[in-house]
Amino acid sequence: MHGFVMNQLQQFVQSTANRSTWYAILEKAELPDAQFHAVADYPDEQMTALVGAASDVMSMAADDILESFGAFLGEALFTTYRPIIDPELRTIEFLEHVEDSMHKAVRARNSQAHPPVLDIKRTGADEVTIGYTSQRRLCSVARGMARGIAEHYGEPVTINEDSCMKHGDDQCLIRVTRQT
Amino acid sequence: MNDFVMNRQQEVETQLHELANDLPGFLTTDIVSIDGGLSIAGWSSHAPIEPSMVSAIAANIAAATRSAYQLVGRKTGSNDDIVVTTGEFYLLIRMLGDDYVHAVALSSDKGNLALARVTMGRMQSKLQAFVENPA
Repeated sequence: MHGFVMNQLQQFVQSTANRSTWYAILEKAELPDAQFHAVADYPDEQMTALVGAASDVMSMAADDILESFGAFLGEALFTTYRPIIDPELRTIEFLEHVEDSMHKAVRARNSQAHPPVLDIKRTGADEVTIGYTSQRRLCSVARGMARGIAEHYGEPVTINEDSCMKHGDDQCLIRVTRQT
Repeated sequence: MNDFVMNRQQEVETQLHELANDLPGFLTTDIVSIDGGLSIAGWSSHAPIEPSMVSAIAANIAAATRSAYQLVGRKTGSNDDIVVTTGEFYLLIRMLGDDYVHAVALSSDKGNLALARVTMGRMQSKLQAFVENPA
């Protein structure tokens, strides 16, 4: 997992709870001295351990933490890549182009970063369906990111997950529909 | 690819490529987000230096500089360049507002710091305009 994501997890915990909660999570995850740097790549197991520990320490379901974190991460990535984001886009259009714009830019200059390859289809004037197949099974983060992007644009959306790898499906299909 | 994204990236990469051609000992250049250390655009020679490492170093140094300036009530824009010299490379960092930096790495045996500073200064307004996209 890229250091940027690990860093953002720390920022997320510290902004939704506080710094001592983050230290408690590090202790619980048996990573008491961990520091995450943007240039490094970290074992996915560390992310799993941190989310599990956060679930215990913050008394929240792991999926809820991941989804809230996804919204936080989406805003952070949006802020980072703002210079190459088309100001004409809105939620559905942004999500439709996220693979060929933001993810491509991330991969081009940040060799340690491996964002998931998404299969994104425009399935309606106000709807996009995101196919997610990463073995990390972090579809909750992807759902949260979609929600975060919609919040950024101030557009109400409904998000449905029509299939999910965690339930034995081949891929997660996340359908985002703009409410008109 | 979305035309806007393609045009924006081509535009800035053309400028960075020109910079690369103008600077002897050029290794790599990137526009880097200070808070995340991620590069949003860049250009590299085939030199054995990892651009993401240079971006991360530049972001960390810029973040520390920004904090130091805030402590004494000054704006980061009042600083021209931050220059780091090592036996292997020179790293020049120029603030682009409060959120991004322009980083250039040159080999320490061929690089010309004065020329690099002048060239980066000449590009600053265009790169500043690039990062100020109102998305």
